[in-house]
Amino acid sequence: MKMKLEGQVEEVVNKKVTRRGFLKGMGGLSMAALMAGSPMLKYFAMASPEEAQKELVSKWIASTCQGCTSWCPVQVKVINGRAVALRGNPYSKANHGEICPRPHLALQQVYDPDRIKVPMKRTNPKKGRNEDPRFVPITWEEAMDMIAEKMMELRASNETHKFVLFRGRYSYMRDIIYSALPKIFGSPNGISHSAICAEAEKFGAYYTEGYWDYRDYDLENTRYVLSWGADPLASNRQVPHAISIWKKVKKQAKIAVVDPRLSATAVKADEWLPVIPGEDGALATAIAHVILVEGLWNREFVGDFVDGKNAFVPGKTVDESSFKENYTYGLVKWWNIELKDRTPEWAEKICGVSAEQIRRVATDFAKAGPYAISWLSPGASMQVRGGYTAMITHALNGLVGSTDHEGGVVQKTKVPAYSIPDIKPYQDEMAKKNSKKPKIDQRGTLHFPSLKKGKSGGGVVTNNAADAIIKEDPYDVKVAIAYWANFTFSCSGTDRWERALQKIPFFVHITTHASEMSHFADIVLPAAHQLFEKWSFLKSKQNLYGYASLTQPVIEPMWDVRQDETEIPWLLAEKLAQKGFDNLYRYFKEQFKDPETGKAPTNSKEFAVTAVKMFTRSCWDPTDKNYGKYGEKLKGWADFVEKGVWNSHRFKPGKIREKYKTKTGKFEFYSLTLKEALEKHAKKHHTTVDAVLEATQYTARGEQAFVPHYEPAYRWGDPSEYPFIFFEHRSRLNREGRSANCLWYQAHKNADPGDENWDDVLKINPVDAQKLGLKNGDKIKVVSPTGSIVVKAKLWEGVRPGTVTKCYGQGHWAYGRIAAFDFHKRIPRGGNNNVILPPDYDRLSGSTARHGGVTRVKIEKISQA
Amino acid sequence: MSSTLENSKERSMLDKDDFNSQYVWGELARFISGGFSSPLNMSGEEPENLRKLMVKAPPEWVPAIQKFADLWKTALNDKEALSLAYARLFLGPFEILAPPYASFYLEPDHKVMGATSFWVAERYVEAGLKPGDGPKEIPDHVALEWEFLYYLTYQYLTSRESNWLEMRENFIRVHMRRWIPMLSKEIKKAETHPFYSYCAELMVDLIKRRAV
Amino acid sequence: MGKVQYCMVIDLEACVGCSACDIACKVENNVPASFAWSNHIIETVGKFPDVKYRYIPTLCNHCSNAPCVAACPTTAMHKLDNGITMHDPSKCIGCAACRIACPYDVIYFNDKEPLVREEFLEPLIPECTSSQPGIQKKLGVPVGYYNPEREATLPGIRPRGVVEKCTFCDHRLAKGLPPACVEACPANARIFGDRNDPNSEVSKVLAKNHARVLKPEKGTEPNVLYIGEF
Repeated sequence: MKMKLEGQVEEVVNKKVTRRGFLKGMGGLSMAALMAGSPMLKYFAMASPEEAQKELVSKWIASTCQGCTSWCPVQVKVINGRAVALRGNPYSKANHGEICPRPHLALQQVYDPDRIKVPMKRTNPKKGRNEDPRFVPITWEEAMDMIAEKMMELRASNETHKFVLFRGRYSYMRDIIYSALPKIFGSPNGISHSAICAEAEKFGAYYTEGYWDYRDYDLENTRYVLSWGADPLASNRQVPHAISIWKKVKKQAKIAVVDPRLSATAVKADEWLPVIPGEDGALATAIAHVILVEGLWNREFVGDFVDGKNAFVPGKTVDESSFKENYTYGLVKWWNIELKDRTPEWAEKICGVSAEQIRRVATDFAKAGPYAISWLSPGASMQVRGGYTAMITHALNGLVGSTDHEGGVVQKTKVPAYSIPDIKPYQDEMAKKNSKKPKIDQRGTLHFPSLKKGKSGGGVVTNNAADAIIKEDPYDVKVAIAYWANFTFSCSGTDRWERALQKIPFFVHITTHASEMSHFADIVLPAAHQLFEKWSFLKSKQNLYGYASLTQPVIEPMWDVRQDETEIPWLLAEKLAQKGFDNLYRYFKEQFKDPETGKAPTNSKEFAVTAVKMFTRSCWDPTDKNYGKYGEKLKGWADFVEKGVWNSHRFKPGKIREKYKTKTGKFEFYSLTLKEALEKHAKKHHTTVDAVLEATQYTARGEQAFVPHYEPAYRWGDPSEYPFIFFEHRSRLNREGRSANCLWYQAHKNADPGDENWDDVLKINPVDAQKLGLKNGDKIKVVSPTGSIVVKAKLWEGVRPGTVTKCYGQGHWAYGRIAAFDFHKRIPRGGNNNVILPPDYDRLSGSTARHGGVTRVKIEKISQA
Repeated sequence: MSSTLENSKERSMLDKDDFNSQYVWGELARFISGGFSSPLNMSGEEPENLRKLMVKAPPEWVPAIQKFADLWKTALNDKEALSLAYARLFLGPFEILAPPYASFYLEPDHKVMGATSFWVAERYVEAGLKPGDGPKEIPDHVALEWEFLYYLTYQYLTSRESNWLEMRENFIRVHMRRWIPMLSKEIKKAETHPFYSYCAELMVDLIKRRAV
Repeated sequence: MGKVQYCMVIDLEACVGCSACDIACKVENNVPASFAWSNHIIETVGKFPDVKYRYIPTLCNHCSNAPCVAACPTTAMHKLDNGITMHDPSKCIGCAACRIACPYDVIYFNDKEPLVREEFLEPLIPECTSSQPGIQKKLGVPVGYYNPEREATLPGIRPRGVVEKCTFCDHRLAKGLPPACVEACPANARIFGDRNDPNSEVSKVLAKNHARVLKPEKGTEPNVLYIGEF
């Protein structure tokens, strides 16, 4: 057969000349005659120019990654309408076009086969972890109708406050669903995730320099980085900026990392200070002690002794009048109340870091000041007694004058953005009255001062909402909607959330994946993916630039999904209006107008775009009063959409220190600001500050409460029964606990030092492992006083003997078939730390205490048979 | 598969600017596609139209076209027999003697709608095509692939932009040459109908003549 | 003389071990999750608290004296004029001789259907969630993020029965773009170029630094070199 064919070919070739000759005779036929019309196609059709164009387009489109709270401007490469790659947005001055591994993973989220395609309705009325919800698909129409119906029942019974809106991650479109919706409906209950995130960190900066927010860091010009559990090469915040500049930083500065684990940043540091979890305060006060005793404080910022002689002698009190302060308040008080006895030798015994290393780090850090950074993170503050640790570690910046200074720690440049229009005119009597009722999380009660910005009950106590719902204190919750949240997984004491959700009669979950929280839902609404399918914007800062970064639908949504923060409230407002309550709908229709055309939105999609345009107007609209005032002048909305990011002017340090927003206007080492807040809270509950401290698990009494001071670590579990201190850490691949269903997450997990691919390991020092007879890969049960998980042992020198650590992120029993070992049997892959972490708090800030070795554990080997 | 020498000979086969031979080749591709379509979809005018093509064809192609037209005409005289052969070869319901899908030959486990199908579909999209309203088949069906070659030739001849020709040659070289000879062999081995056996022979011949 | 020799220099001082390279490579080249054309060697040495951790990014070394090429019985594994060690799946008989010959463990064998995940064959929740076939049907690609640009010089997805490995992103080089791992590295730790061109950045970096290669004793003459300490 083959031979014959080749023979034919040969034959034809030889007749080439003849063919040529023949062709001359063909001259009479015109091409037009032969090829008139269009091709005769049976199986195909020709795509229209638009279709063809679309199919051939390969374009980079701007959006924002919300895989962590760096919120990096990114670009998505779109080919044939599909997202195929990501890179940093080159217009961004914050991450200057670099991205960490996380944005790449997002591709496996948006195209995850396990994503929810359509709204789902529960058909099994019984709720519980071991109940199959038996979800069935329903239409959006049906779903919204059911939700509106349940909400209208609350209006009918004047119980609108029994409606709760749980918010997890968010964009700055958040106030539409989180604030306007509950408040116009008549509920005080917008319950955010903030207190499981990092509020305790803000406590430190607020009660020293009056700034309730994350700080920025001038890495470019710094000479010393002292990290308190911060792991910027792997996780929050400003990861790509830190990665891209680290080589330079390492060259020009010394880097010291305080972390019980050899973290991703510790491995690229000059000093590793493996502190005993929760005892950071001892280390930090000792550093402050050394700085003062050695006379290394920054004279310009802090001031000096009147006679120029250093009177800070260990153990000796100092006369307050002998020292004249400049930008600070209460240095000598601080010394006398707290620091005078905090020698490195004292600290060494408590925190496990040698006195010698403490001295060296303190001296080098102070000598580098004011070009020095004391970088506070959740690790050193989200602890039961972490509020004060946050204060001390931030106060170190005050001592060396690095706060609001080049090369140091700074605040931020304003990112001009509008929020939602005034809702008051749309609140009826019921709404006004019921939205003033106490919130479900018990904030502001004696045990939960939650002193955000100095106000008793000013901040959320996210994790306590579960207990409050179970106890029906202050009331029983009847209808709840949660979006972009998974509290049954992400809050410590997960079992309480399971019980709480089981108890809520009607629960709606807005999510991309069938998560642990969806499992308890009556209705599950499929959400658009934030990076690829949603209109919104983010405000953030890195590298001393503030920015507004847009997210936009770079692809057609994969499934029948809606945008959580805009479209869904719109659809709900429409339904509520149909059922007789039109306030929310009127609010949306009357108050939201396209800034360019003045047009009101006519559907949910238009509403989403209109709202983003309104909120970000200052960035791109030349007619806006703030246009160009704080940074770039983008040339209209189209320019913003094209570039995707608005950059502020670079932050110039040096002005804020002239007048801090504290009680004294100074950087407070003795915090009159905190004193006032605590006293107000005490007064509200007709008691004393000491009683408040007792109720909130703090040991300080009297004056000590008003200065940054050492508090001994608080732990659950008796050491005799639970010999190991357990602490958790973050992954450089976590997209906030939402990437475990990505194959690439599992396949590259060992990029977290000490971890293993496709596994979830408890890292234990080989010395301890030997005592327990454990070897690598042994299956073990990790038991705390409140729960247990089964994982594998990993013998690793990067963890202190006596402590064990495990990364957060694995241990899903839902979310998908990669994340969970067996989704249908609800068997997790690895173990969720929040199962063994007890639900405890830094009650002063309302924060969940997930760090600092809040619990002890015991380890039981499971026989391999 | 082919030696370099063979390639170079084939390259000289047709002048790419040779309008008439390109035209005839493209039309033949269309007829091959039609030949591999279900006999139910045949109009009956194919033999006549093929004969018209002979006028424009290079003389050495004429006997082949003549034979093709004659066999087709004979086949149409007993459409039932043709349909039966078509079903046995390509449809089943029992053993399919010559599966008409590239993926059957190229994919492990003969998996249909695997990487091959996707690759082929991407090529269609790239060339500005979308599925038509007519018969539905998976992308790597032999009839679609031949219609695709016809389409690319048509586009080349009407635009004179060489990228169409490059697309066609690439499609043949990296894809069709890998499986069409295998399909051809199976069809001929089955000996169900002279028409299909000749189609099988002709299409391999056409591919050999085209590769650049 | 005038011949291009592509080469990559990895600055371990700048590298922070984040694995963005590994993932970006998978994205660009449609690499199955279980393979890693771009990979890393990690080790933790010392005793607490004096512990050092090292991370060394790895990929095909595109050796000038490539044992995989020598071992290949069909010339499927071959050298290009620009120094890239390239593989032609159409000539590959799947004997895996190259894998055995390679001292760096960077060649992978497709022993099953590439990119297909058993887990995803059926919907998780019937009618409510999708499946891999569902995504394929909707988008016409094997996985949603499938990169068609890879097809320029290799099958977009390498079929079962053949090996695959890093190609220095030859399809990107053809368009004047650096390899995907180079572009993705947020630390800018990867420098890529022609080491035969004295003006290229790699040549300059190599002139200034003491560069090392992996397993020099094997005599493979790698074209992936390392400078600095992690």
